[in-house]
Formats: sequence, C-alpha cells, structure tokens
Amino acid sequence: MSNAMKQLSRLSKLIFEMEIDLGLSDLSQPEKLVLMAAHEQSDADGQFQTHQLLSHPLSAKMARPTFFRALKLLEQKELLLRNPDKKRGLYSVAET
Amino acid sequence: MLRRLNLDWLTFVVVSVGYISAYTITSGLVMPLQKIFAPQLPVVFSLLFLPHGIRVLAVYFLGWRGILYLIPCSYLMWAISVYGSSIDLAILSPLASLSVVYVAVRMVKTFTESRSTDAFGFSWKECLAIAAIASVFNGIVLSILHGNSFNWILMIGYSSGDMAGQIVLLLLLIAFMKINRKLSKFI
Repeated sequence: MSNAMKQLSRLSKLIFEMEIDLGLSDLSQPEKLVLMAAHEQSDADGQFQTHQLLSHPLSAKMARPTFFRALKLLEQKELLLRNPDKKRGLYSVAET
Repeated sequence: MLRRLNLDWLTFVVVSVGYISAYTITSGLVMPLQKIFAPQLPVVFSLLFLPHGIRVLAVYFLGWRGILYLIPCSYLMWAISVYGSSIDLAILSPLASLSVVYVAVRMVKTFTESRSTDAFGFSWKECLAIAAIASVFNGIVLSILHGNSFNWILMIGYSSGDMAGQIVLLLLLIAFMKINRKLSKFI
C-alpha cells in the first residue's frame, strides 16, 4: 500500500470513529462495540480473528449470541469482510 | 530530492486538491454569505475557514512533511485570493499558519506521550485539540502580521473561523463517507 493510501485509510478510520462516537451511524450498540473492537484489533492489512474480539474489553462482556449476531450483521452491512479463503474466524475490516 | 525527503506525488496531489477545494468553498460560498449576513466584519478572515481543517489533518497525519506538501498550494491560493484582491496580509502568513499547526501537533503529541497513552494512534478528539490550539496560535500570529500589533478582534475572528472550519470539515467528511458507503452498495 502506498503512503498516500495508508494515510487515507487512517483518516477514514478516524472519521468512522467520530461518526460512531457522535451517534451519527445507524448501527446498534453491540454492532458499534464489535466494530470498534475490530478496528482496534486489526493488523496493518485490516485483518483480525474472532477470538481477538472475544477477549477485547469492548466486546468481552457481551453474551456470545449477541456478539455473533452483531458480527453477522456487520458482515451483511459489508463493514466487516469474511476471509475469502474461508479460514475459520478470520475477518478483515472494510475500507470505509 | 523528493525521494530523499520521503515525499511522494500522490500524497502531494491529494493534499493539494483537498486544500484548494476547501479554499474554493470558503472563498466562493462562505465569504459571499458572510459579506451578506455580517458586512461589518473585516474581509481578512472567514467565520468558517475550511482550509485550516486540511492543514491540521495533513500535519497530524504526515508530520513536518505535511508542511512541505501544503506550501505550494497555500501560496498559490494566497496569491490568487489575498494578493489578487489587494488584501493587506503579510507574505509570511501562509508559512506562519502552517508552522503553528506543527507546533500544536508537537504539543499535543508530547502531552499524550507523557500520559503513556497511544502516542502513535490517531483520534478525532486529539485532532480537535490540535485544531483548537493551532487556531488560537494562528489568530495571534496573523493578527500581529496583519497590523504589526496584536488585535483582539482579528485574533478572535481568525481563531473562531479556523476552529469552526475544522469541525465542519470533519462533519463534511462523515457525510461524504456515509454517501460513499450508500452509493457503493448500488455499484
């Protein structure tokens, strides 16, 4: 990724966090928490594993069914992307 | 030379387009409205100066290189709008405005590092803190450059315009990204 694209990706992440913090997004509370945790846990390529989110302070106290429902809804809204190789539990954060 | 300074053309184009667009909206839309609704205000400052937001974001994300990327477009817009309209504003003003943003970034980053928080992360609250500090510094420096002495009215005018510009720019970016997300579902 070029330097310009890397900085634009960081900017979009900052704007997205602001959108969520100000309550301007149309996501439910569990979806917001899971998405924030995903943004924080994702590596340089935007990838993360579900077990990383399950241990993250934002989503650790969430009931398992609520967590996986939120994860599924975020996937449907194309904010989180499942790994195309179908590697279990591997997701990536969509460019917003 | 560009490679030695670790600068690249794509970043330069993105930053320049952002700055020139923000400046064009300010001078083409905000300033005429300001002249209609607040004709008593001096024409040297805008109550909603969007380019300040671009300056803060560029220096926040790119560090001192952000200043180098912004110098050409800052002077281009200064030459067109300020010099071209015979407004009495010092030639050093674009450079001074960029320098105060860098000082504000260093101040806030030093503070966050001393509090052992995530010094390498970026947050919108930190960004707004930088914008607020830089807008006050910018107001002081520009009011001095404008009349060779400190002027409270100019200082408050510059500062409030810069801060309002930063907030509105971030809100515009949120709106832009929401629209972009909605449109991308149809493509």
